[in-house]
Amino acid sequence: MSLLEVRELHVWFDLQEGRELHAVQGVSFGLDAGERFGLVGESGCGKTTTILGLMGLLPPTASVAGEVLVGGESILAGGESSVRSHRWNDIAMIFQGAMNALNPVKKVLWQIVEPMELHGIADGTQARRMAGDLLEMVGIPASAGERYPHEFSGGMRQRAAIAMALACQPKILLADEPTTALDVMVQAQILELLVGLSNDLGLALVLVTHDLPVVAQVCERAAVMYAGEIVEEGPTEALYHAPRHPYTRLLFAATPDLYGDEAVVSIPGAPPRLDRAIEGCAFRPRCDSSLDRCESEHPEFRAMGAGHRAACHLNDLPGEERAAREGARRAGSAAPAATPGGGAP
Amino acid sequence: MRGADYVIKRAGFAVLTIFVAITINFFLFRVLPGNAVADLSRVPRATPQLRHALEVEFGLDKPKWEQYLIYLKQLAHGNMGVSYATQQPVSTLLANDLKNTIPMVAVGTIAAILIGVLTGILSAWRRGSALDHLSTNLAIAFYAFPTQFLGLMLLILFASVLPTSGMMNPFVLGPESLWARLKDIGAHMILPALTVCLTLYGEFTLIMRSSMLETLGEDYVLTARAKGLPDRKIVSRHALRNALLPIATVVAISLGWIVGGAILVEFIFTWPGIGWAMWQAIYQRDYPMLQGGFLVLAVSVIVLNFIADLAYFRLDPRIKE
Ligand SMILES: Nc1ncnc2c1ncn2[C@@H]1O[C@H](COP(=O)(O)OP(=O)(O)OP(=O)(O)O)[C@@H](O)[C@H]1O
Ligand SMILES: [Mg+2]
Repeated sequence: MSLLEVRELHVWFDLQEGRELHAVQGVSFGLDAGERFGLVGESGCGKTTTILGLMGLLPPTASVAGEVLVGGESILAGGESSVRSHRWNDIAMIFQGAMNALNPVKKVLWQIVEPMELHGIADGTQARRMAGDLLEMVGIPASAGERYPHEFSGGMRQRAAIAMALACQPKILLADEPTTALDVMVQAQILELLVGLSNDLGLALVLVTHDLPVVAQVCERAAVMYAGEIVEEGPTEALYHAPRHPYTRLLFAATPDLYGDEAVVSIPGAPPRLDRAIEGCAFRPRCDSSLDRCESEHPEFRAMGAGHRAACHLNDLPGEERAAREGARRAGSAAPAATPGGGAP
Repeated sequence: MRGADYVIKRAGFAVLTIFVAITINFFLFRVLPGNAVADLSRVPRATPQLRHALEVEFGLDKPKWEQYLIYLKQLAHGNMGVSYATQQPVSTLLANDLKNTIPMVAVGTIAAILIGVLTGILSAWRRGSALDHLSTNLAIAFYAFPTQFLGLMLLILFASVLPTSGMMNPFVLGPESLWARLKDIGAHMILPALTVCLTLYGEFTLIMRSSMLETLGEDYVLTARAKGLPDRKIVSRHALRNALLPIATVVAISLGWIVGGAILVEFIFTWPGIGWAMWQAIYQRDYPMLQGGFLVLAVSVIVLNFIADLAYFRLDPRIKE
């Protein structure tokens, strides 16, 4: 049994005039203790919504369906008051733009102590000592806890946010783009800290980012999201070397490689709007190797091998035909009538 | 310590502003046409000799800058001159008037702050609910009404149930217990204080609501929810203090109005405070009284602003930068 299991999570946002935006469309994934899992995808594909949805933290304009199991127990089923006891206790978070995750008018130590006292982990002097230890653990002198957030640098604030996330010894840490606002050196330090903590404390980590090299460096497994869905999931190695969805392949190709000499290709076009139903494969308009059936048939998410799943019709083709098909549409865009395999380089 | 620096700087600024106010106040009254002696209704059929004698007596024959220095010196001794109308020291009269104004305006203002902050928070918390709509529309309506209109409406509506004029019942003869007297003053205070409260609370509600809504959207509020805090604690521990910061500023800004507005309210309800006294001073061309009144109003706005600065300093640790 996995530590965290997300089953068929859907999120709809109410828009004006009765319209709805289907931001998360049946996302499922699992997470074992101590595992580091990456969630990647372009801006707006629903990463943050998935993370907030599974903790029941979305605004009232959102409706959520699906199941979230922590250690086998469904945490969302009991409503707001019952999910509260799981928050920070089982699952803690570091937010996107965590620079402002600390309250500007409260001292840092107080903010770390707060969840301890709330969940009955510790209180008084003991809690303050534990909070001081946590600060030391993330590389901040305990005495700095008596200061206010604005007296910290960006990197220190992010470290303090991590210390705060560890206050109740959670089993799972959700980190939504924890390093976006930081400069490269500090970014590397924070990632190193997160990897170290997950190793030392056996903390399961979900790392949300659109930075693929970071995922490759930190996570054993990853899922690629597109237009509210997971389109491919598997070991990071497999996603990189043997992707089974054109989006994954193009996403990696779109990442600059410092030492490589290959030109960086961007993916033309933009993700579809999510406020209307999508027919067929959501990625088809931007896909470089789509088939006729992609237009009308929604591809199913299917196992490709050990722990590797993808949702693409190309996977129904035999191996060599699939390889030949790759990039066919892009290569053949000048001659739209290219026959299958004709676009092979 | 940087905190002390801030307080000293603010206090210095307040003192400087008071000095500027005193100076403007002095010269403003010297550029008004006519002088106390020239007013023929006051000294009818005065000969030039008599007029000159009076000018010498009041020091009006001296150059302006000398008059200014004398004024400053007298002011430093708490001497604001003698009222033309009653021949009593202006400082004594104004102290007595202030003693009547302060409780009435304070009750109205504090009630406005409390009601405004509370309804603002509730509105933001229950955003989009019927309660929110009701509260917001009421606030906009009261914010829009001019003070004199509101005061007159209240006067018309409650004339039969509440006293509408003065500070206590003038027809009670003989000894009376302190309690009965306080009760009488309280009853007289309801309408003027309510007018002050209603004129102010609308703005406070609207500002509090929008400030609270903004704060509720901050990352640290999401963090607080993620920590598992119940709504009530999220508001009281994390959102409230941050959302109150703009209110401190708005209160400070409206203090000027509070003092000026007292004139309208006191006029409508004949409340024997500083506003009423100033209206009478204008009516009777009682320059020393008017000048003293202006000065007291200016100084109280400056002092109240200084207090608001200190409150801001207490609320926001970032100010110490
Ligand atoms: N409160 C909301 N109301 C309406 N729509 C929303 C709301 N929050 C998010 N959305 C929409 O849901 C979709 C997914 O947004 P989300 O923030 O989850 O994307 P993301 O993958 O985290 O992107 P980014 O990389 O920019 O953080 C977007 O189309 C967004 O416009
Ligand atoms: Mg996001």
